[in-house]
Amino acid sequence: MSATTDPIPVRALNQVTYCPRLYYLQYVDCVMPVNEHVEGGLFDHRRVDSGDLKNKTRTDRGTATSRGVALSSEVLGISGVLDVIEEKNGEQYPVETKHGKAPHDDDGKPTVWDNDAVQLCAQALLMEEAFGQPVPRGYQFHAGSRERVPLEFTDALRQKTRAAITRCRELQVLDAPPEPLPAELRHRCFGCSLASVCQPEEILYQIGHPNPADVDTSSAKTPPDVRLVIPKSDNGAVLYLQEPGSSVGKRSEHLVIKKDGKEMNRVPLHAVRQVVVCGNVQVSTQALETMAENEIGVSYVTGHGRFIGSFVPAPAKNVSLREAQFRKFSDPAASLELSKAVVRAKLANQRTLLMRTLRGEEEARGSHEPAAKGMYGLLAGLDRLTSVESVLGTEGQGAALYFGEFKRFLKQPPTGKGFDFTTRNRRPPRDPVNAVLSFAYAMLAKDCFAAVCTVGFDPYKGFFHQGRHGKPSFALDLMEEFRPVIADSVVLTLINNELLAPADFIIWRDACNLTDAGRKAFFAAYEQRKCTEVTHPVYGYRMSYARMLEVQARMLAAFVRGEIPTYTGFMVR
Amino acid sequence: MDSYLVCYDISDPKRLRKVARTCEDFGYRKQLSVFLVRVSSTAIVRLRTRLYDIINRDEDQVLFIPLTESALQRMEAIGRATDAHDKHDAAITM
Ligand code: SF4
Repeated sequence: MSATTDPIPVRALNQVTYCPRLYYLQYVDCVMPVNEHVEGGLFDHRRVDSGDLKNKTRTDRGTATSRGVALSSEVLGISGVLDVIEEKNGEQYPVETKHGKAPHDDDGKPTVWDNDAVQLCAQALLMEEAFGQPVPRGYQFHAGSRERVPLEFTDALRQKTRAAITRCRELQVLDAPPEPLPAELRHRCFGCSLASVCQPEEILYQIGHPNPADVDTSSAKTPPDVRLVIPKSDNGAVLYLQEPGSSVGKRSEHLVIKKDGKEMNRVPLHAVRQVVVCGNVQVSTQALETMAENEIGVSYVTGHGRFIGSFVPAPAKNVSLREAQFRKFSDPAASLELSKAVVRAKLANQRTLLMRTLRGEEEARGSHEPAAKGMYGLLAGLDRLTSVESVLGTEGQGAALYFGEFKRFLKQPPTGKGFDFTTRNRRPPRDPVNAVLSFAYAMLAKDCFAAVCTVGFDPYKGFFHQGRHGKPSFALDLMEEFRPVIADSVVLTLINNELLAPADFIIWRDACNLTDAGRKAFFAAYEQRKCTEVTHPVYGYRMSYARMLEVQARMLAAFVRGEIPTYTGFMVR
Repeated sequence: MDSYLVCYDISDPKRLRKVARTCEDFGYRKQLSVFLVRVSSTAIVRLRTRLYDIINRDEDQVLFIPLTESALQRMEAIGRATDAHDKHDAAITM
């Protein structure tokens, strides 16, 4: 079935009138988070939606009421389920219930929002075709203020409704969503259920500022006037299941964790937004199903933190984004530009962390450190590079400078008691510091994987880490700019604040790993770090690191689809 | 994330079981009929909707007591030990 012949739901006509971009995201990209406005709406609709009342007609004092009537029209190309149709004195009219209060016109009389009017009018058009009888007016019931407002279906309104149908058809064939609402309508974004997906202020800002941020992150930048529309933190906890030999089942919508037949704990799923299964833990199919239904992603990692895979609840059906992704990432010029953007951000963040950490030793600012100077040079040279390979080389040189000083980042307790670090090693990590670094990168990779999947990307097709067999290259690309600020920073906190002790590691045949207790300490610190709020360097407002991962992934999506001219990596100030 | 203390008084054992089970989907049991619920504003609407459908509106009652972060920090218990209440914020490790 082609998209252009599917009937358009009347609800969609409401959305397209409210905001064409909202319609596109919801019905063409098929992303549907629910916010409390929508949930509140469900609460008010209860009487209509409860199955036993559906399609039954009741008569009460001369008014016949039918509920939940499904109508569809091939001529108009629309369909819908009508809340309520009333019939009185031979006249039929639709009644639609909306959450919230009625707006008032200049004379103080209650009216109907224009988008709701279009939806109601579309219902009238459906009724006229189905019943062959004119429908001159309908009613909008506002549950919030308990007002029932009449609405005349004028010629102008009918025209507007038909125009909305045409607009939907036009939007359906576009490759990318239309621009966010202009400033004078921006107040609508605050009640929009898709604001966190749409990122209206950020997209418009980027459209107006096509130049990437300059290299010198220490220069004072005035934050732009981007108003915060999207929520700044994520809701709910991350649940780590790691007790060896435990099994996880479900009861209603909470998890019951058992070991050796004994119940150990219960976890309410609605308080959880992500689950990580670590090592030898059995999760029942029923539990997995419930998590998928509640849109909770489940990641599997080994006891050593190696990411095995994830169980993503019905991935975003965003085929056009994936097509654009493959096209864009196969284009050498675009890949080069993106690679520079993430490496620029990574180097800048490593340099900032280095300067901050070493500042105490010498009285001057850390910028006099030779490594900081070297990294500054690399940053300055980045723009001149002409291939992804050379960007990779610069990134490697930066890492060498940075990890060359990493030992000095660690607080040095009396010899023999603390942690030694000489070089970065992995596969397997051979000492505690490397073990916890590897573990932190694995956890971050898992979160980046989830972020790119949420947005609807293919995690395996990257622009920088190209063609590494079987690696989720794109997740790793997104991760670069966050490595120092999330992963390295957690490692420093854990070690310098003595949240981890040498006893939290086991070394076996050259490989060093965290113990169960060590992992537990790690998870707490890691999630704490992700909750930390930082200022976005471009948009100038604060949000959590967890949220920032998704924001950056969404900006990449906007770049890939050509909505914005450049991508700017996240750089701490 | 919002925090609520959800307490109930249900006069029929069958409905009581249903209410308890629903609360367990959203929060942590503090006492027999007292739950600490820390969820998004969306989830709290969902909880309210589900409880509304279960209870008998003439005989039963569910209270939703909003808790500020500072009230939550000052919560104390005497007698039996209780789980630290802010532990479940960011990471839950089992
Ligand atoms: S946030 Fe604003 S621009 Fe974006 S979809 Fe919603 S209403 Fe439209």
